[in-house]
Amino acid sequence: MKRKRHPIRGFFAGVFVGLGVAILLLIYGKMTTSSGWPALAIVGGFAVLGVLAGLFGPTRSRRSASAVR
Amino acid sequence: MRRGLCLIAIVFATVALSAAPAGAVNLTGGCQGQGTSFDKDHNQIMSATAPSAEPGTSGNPFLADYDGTVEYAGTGPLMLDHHWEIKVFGIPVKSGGAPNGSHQTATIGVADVSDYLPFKITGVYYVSGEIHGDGGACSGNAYVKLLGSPVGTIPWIVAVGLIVVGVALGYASLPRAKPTATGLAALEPVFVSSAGPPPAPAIAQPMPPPVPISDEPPTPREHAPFGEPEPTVQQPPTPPPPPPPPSPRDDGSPA
Repeated sequence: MKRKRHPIRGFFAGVFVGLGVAILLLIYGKMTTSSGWPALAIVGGFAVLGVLAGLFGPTRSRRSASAVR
Repeated sequence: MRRGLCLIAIVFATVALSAAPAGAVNLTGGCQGQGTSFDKDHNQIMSATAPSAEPGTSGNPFLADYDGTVEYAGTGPLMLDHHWEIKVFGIPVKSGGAPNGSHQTATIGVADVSDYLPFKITGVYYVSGEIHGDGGACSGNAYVKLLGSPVGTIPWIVAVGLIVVGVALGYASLPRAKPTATGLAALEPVFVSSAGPPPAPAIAQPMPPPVPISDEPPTPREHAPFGEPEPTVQQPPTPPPPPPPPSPRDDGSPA
């Protein structure tokens, strides 16, 4: 059996989660808008995590035939 | 005169909205001002004076309420045909200008915080503003902390939505197992030799219907609870054996 990987999909998943976390930190006053680097670091970090999850994450179980029926 | 005051008002509105506690506002160009923030019930939140000796930081922001107001007063050099602009994180949120034909150099007024924001937001934001015209220019910047709970606001909903979509997409991006080409090639000879997939195993013949052993209904059997010995079955007394048939000698007949 071979593992089909989705690094691009994981990248966008990480970007979405990173943007959400950055916005939450901003509106809860834990991060300011004086510099964009913290937000970029958060988004970039989650994007890298998404790529790694898409490449080396645990294998997602394929749906069995009996479950389809 | 009134337009000149309006000019100064704009400058100070920028500063007042971005003003930190005393000594935490940067203001250049010869403009001066002070402002006080109030909540929606007109309870005072904070006062600030600009310019200040200490630079404003995110640790001592000017507190304001989105539903509240800022009362301001300021003075500055005479500016004709001025243009002003307010930015949040470098993004212009409000701008304007006036000829200032009345040559005003001072102003006073009340600014609604919500007029400077497209929707309710909370958090600490870097706000900057500037005004320039014929005769001078002023610019200021500081940190503003908008009070209130972020739950239910548009940024909060967008953030939660992004996280939910991202997590779902992240799960979909996990690797999936799929058959390899070598594995499929190994099955090919089997399919070719049998002209199809290997036959399925024979299905077991159905069992014949049960045949009753006797016509008598089965007697219920009592079982002891788990761990206890089976009760001894009381066997019915065996009937005495029937007497043997009389022998010919006993009946008195001759042997």
